[in-house]
Amino acid sequence: MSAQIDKPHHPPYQAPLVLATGLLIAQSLALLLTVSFVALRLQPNIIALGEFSTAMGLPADIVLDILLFVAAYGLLAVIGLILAVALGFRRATAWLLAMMQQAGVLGVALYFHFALRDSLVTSWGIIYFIMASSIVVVLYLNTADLRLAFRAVTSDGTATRPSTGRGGAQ
Amino acid sequence: MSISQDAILLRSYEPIIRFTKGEQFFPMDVTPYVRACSLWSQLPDQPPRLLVQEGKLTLEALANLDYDTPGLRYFLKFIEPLNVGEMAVSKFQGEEDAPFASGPGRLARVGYISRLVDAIYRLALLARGRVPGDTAAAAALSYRQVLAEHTHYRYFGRVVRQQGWIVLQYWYFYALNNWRSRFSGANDHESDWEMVCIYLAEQPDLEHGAHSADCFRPEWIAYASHDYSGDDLRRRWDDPEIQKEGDHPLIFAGAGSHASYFSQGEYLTELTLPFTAPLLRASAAVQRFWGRVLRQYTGEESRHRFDQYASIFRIPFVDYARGDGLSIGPGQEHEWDEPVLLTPVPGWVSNYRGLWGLYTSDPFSGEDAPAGPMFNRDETVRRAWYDPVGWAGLDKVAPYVETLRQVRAEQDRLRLRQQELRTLIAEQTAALNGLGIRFEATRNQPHLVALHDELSKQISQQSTELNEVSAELSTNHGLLDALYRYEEALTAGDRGPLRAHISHAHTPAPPSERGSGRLAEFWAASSVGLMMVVMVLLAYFLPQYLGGGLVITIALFAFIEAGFRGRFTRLVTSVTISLTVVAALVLIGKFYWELIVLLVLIAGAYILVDNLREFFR
Repeated sequence: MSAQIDKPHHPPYQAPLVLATGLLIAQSLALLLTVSFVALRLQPNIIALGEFSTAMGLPADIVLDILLFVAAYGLLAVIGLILAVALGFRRATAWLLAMMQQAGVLGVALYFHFALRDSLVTSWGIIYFIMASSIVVVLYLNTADLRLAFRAVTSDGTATRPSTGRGGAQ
Repeated sequence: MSISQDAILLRSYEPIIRFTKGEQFFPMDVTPYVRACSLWSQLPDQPPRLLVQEGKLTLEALANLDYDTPGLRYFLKFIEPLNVGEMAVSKFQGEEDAPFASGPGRLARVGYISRLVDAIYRLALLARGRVPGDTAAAAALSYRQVLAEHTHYRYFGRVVRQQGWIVLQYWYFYALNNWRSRFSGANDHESDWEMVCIYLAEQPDLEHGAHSADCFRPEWIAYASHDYSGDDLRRRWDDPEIQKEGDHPLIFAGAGSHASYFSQGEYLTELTLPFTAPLLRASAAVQRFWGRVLRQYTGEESRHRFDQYASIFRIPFVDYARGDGLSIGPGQEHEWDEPVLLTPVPGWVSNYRGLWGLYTSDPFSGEDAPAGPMFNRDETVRRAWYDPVGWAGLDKVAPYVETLRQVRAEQDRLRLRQQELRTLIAEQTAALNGLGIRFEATRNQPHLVALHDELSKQISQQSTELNEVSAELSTNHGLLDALYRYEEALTAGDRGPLRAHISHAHTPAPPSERGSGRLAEFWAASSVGLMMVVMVLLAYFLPQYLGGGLVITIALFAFIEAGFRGRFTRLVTSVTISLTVVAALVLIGKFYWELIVLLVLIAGAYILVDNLREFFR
């Protein structure tokens, strides 16, 4: 008779959480890389707003659009990384904040598409990749599996271990 | 049964009605009402014509009207609007009826889109035909005068025998439905007919092992509520939701609407406007796609009701069936007067097809008076009249004793069929064996190739037929088993789940939904109008920022709303998903061909990988 090997018991919500965390981290890192790439296009020795356009040979409003892009997505990317960690630990408000962060990502991208069509950033097409990544993240955040994983979280923010009905450690 | 026995049956189970404090109209006899009415006729696109003045109309006159002119519509008119003096006197004297406290407003219970649709509905009311504003006050005065002459509370009873059931119908007539003007409901209309049905069936006399013709007991009860029909209207007599005092069921009447409810409380009723029906279907289809295909979370409460989100296109009204007002019935503060039997059917019921109150020409018919107990507003016969059993969905349910008899008959029929099938199987098996033998014998016989092929076809055909017969035998075996178990359960008195037939039970709003605070209600009542004012101001003073201003205004209003109603998570989810949908549409619109190419590439890669995996296995 062969000995039964006890396999480690993984709660049913662990896989969705890992995937959600992974998606958010990947998106945030991609955003940071993109923002860094765009920011490096700006000349490092520029000290006045009026000289931005001179340095890049671009009209001032286009430079402002780039600055808006860098500032908004830089901030959202950092927030995304923090929220990814919180999601992994199944903190109560992490899911809601992650959805709000994605709303910000989409909102900025849509603003660039509709209101700043002439912007350099829009013409490069970067915002469409950002939109696509955010759509994937939002759809996954809203799946029934992940939503249910957060339903057992108590009011003080700590997660309870839901009963799996398999008699494992409670 | 004789008429007196019908009356005894009706009185034995006559319902008790509990009204809401503030209700002004109660079930009455039609004679004084008709006497107080004038009779009018109207042809399409022509003004109405007075036929009989008020004070001179009788029930006999209603029974003898002429219907030869196509399109001619008759209607009664209970009230001539008060003149200014009478209205002033009535207001000076103050209200004699108990005051009504509305509690949490209906608009505070629903979201913005519902309130917007409600605002459009209210504006449309100005253009539609409607009951004039002072009619309700005049009707209340006239009704009090009728009561002052002779205080009475009366119903009309009818006993129908149909499909093994004895149906007791209780018809209640009210002088006015003032749901809109007094209780912020959907409509007002002169006169109101409401009805309750109790379904009696023969009970087995278990003690003597026989069926007693006198043993009729209620098995079901159905309450009419607005224009609903079918299974959701009825409850089994032993359902704990039916409150009873002895054999008398309790009805909680909606304030103003007089709709009948099983439990007391405040019921959120949603009115669907005809032009929103396509929107409702589209919304429900989108929600089904969202939840089932994309496996998105739709919320615990809406998991099995994908049409719940479609309620944003419906107009909310509250039916207050609190039961804290007047109570009429056996053992109550007021008893029923002797009922008027509708057997045989009196002429004013069967021959008068017109409306029992003002005809306002309302295209939605909400403000038009109803027709009598026998007819719909369009002069067709009501289903509740010609088919009271089917009206409550009981056409597929047999009375208990009849059910037992039918179960046993079905068992006999099936046993006979099983015998036939076994015989048929034996015959077909023998025939198939014969074919098989001939098939084998003609194998590899060149001169018998044609016969061999023909035998092959016959074997295939007969084999299929034998399979079908065997499958039927097997299915019937299972069905017979189930019928035996069902008979056992019925004999033991088990009639199955109480509420299995109900798909949408109308339940009162829980207390937690009702208490949203005065500030929240003030916000709910004023937000739509305020938003319209802000939009106009933006368009006039800051047209260059109209788009952004509207977005910010709507967002601000939505966040305030979510804060009041504790639905911040839902708001965030809705906003994010809306942005996702817009972004998806932008991507599809901009990269239509690229997406198709990408999908084809992905499909090709998937097929390639799958086939290669199989190849290398």
